Amino acid sequence: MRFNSLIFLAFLAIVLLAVWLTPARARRWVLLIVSYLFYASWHWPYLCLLVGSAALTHWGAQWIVAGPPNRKWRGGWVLAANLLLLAAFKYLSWFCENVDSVASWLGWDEPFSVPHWLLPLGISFYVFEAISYTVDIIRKRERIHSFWDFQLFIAFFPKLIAGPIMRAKELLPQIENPSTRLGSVTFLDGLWMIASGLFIKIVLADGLAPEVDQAFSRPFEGIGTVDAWLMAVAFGLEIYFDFSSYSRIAIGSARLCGIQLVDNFNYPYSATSPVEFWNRWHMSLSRWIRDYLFFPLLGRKATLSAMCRAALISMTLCGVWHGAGWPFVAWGFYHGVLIAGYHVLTYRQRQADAMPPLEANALPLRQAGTVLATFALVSLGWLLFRSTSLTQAAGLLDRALKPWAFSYRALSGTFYLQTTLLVLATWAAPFAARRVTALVGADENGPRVGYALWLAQGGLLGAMLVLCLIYLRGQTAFIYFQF
Amino acid sequence: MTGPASSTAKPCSGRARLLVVLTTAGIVVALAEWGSSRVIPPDLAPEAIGRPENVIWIPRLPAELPMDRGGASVWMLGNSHTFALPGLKPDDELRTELSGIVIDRLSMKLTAKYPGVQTNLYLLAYPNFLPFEMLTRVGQMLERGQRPKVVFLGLTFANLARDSRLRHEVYLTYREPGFADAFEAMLVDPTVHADGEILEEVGAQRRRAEHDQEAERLRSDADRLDEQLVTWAAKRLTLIGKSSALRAQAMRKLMGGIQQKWADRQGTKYSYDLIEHDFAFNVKCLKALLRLLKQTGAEVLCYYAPERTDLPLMIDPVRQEAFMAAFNRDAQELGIPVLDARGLVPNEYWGWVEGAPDRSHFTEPGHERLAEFLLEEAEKRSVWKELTAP
Repeated sequence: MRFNSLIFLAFLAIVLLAVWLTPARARRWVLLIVSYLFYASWHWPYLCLLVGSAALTHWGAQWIVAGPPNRKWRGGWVLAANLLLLAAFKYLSWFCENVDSVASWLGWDEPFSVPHWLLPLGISFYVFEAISYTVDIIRKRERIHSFWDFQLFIAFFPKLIAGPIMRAKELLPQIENPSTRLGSVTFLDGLWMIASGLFIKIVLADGLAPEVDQAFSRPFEGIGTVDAWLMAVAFGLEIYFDFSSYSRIAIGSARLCGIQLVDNFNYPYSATSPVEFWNRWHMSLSRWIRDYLFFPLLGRKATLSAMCRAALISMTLCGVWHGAGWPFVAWGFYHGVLIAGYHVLTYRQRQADAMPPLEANALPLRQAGTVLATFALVSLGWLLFRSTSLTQAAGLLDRALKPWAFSYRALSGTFYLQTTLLVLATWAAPFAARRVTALVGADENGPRVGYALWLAQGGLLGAMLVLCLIYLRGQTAFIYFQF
Repeated sequence: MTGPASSTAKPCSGRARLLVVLTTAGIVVALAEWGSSRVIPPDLAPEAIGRPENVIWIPRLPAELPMDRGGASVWMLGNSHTFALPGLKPDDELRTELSGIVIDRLSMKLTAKYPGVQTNLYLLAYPNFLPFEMLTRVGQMLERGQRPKVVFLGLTFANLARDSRLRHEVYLTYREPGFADAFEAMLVDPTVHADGEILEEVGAQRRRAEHDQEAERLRSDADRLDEQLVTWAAKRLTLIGKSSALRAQAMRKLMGGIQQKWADRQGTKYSYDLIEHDFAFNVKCLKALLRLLKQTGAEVLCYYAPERTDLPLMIDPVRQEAFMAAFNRDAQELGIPVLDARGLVPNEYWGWVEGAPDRSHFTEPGHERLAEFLLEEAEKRSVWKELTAP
């Protein structure tokens, strides 16, 4: 069931009625049942996989706790089981394809028939949640919870398909001690998140998608330098709108159910460095990578070489997590290089000053320059991410970086115009949000300003809903569903 | 990150705020629904079009291709110059698919000239109709067993020079069972001998169609139910039911307005780049198309479509001349005449787009001129005798 569908809105309305008409102590059962229904509505046999994965992790955690004080050995087995599940469903076909390609290149018979299994929706997300719980159990930072509460932690429907990736300590206490009532401010907040998320998905992301798809489906030989940059920027915007809108709808839906999910995006294209970008982009994944990959790889001594090595490995694995394909590996590695490069550039300064480098106390012009440079570097990476093969990615990068050789322009003026307007709006958004927050939070505002703000909010909410209805075009999936 | 809703306004309680916000939002939606039903013009009734009965507009969606009516058939392939009538003054809508276009006039003239001959005229046209798309649609017609007696093929250099993408409606042809196989067989035939790049593209479209059909098969029950819900809602809400017309209006106002400002500053001197890769592919497709049409035994007549002569060319004129010289040679080898109708329609017969001269569409008198021209040129070459041939 897609969030950007009428059927989901109907489903959510029924769920909210059921949740808030049920006594608080029984609410978790309602949420668990509707979460299972939500998942089964897509492909019911894979519900067994979801339940089985959560059960395996829960029993595994009990087995670890019941074992010797050094939990690493038993923990390793539980982690391996989870990773095996992910590997089998997500990476096996890719592995077989690669082995077959190598074999046929060597002139041998292809040894594998490639399995074409349907990728279980959300598997990368719920397996990562299971892994983080297992690691926390090994580190003795988490305790054993009830079996069904743990099932709900894994299966809670708003974040099940594409996150935010939650930690047990963030979600399980809310499940165990549910809030008793839904306040009107919380209700409005949840509604606002859902409406704005739908607006961003249906109007902005889906508005850009056809042009982006058309551009990437063109043979790259016909693409000029400015076209390649346009494609990079436009896809960067599309995926940002697409994924951040999903997160907003997830957070809003959860809030209406009385549960607070963590934020996933914080104006990533206003970042002043690649490191800051990852602190603002897909934040729940970034901190997962940081806590469960980067820090363990870094070890106790944060030397420059250790930091670079950890960045390269963890970001390459982050790329692999996104999808089974060489362009994703290249994209992850590219971000690893960006982060390692940033560490190299700023290491000495940080050692000497013990203060954040480059962006700290920067002059506005310099800050704008770093924002632009980061945006350009990140955008270039999207060419790798969106390409369907390494050949296409290399061809597009070649064009993007050689303006003297590909000076023609092939894509439509409307696409240029649309993308330019959206980039400007994306950069203006944090300033606008700051102004609005200052305005609504100011104590000197009298009741008249208060009423005016409510009317403005209502008007905006209505306008977003109208545009969503007008721009509702067919059934479009969220990009991150494929991961 | 949570927007204005997360604020804590002092003057009244949260419930009052909720009431004000939701009521205002509801009023905005209701007003938009009420207003939209007045903004969108009603659909044109079929009787208002008044097209001759023997003119068949090949629909945009391949699944709706009509059955062969029998009798001799004339096919007309071309871009929007064959069917669209422009707006005549600023803010006028571009009129399309109305009567008075070239094929209607050709039909009336043919009927008057050869009253005893049962002829059907098929219009295969899209805006910026590209050679690979033409090839696909012609392939589909042939695969369905339809055979032309006479074919008019209108070409505009600007279309050939920049783009070779397949639009969605034409791509859908590859989702028809058996089409890709039959089409490949036509293209590899020694008399057609299509270039390998064209066959690769056909293969790519076939794989895309298979992939999409698999995705369609795996669509969830929730998605199917949602589709029904949207259909139900579209019948009751103008905002959903007429959404494509509303979107078009919004885009015209927003993007069209900004683009017009840009065009005003640029003047009419703006030129487009020729994209070598796309151009080369289009030329290959065009050659294959000519051979495929010739193989059916039809009389084929090519023409360079009318152009405005009071504006600079949008694409390198030297390349245009070079292309025409090469194309004329290729066509001559196949015995296909190529006519030059570029200067046929006087500049005063062309339309306007938001106050700027329209480069692509000419008015009814222009269509009359083109119809007359094609009729006469075909007559000079004794093409019409094909209509009565067994």
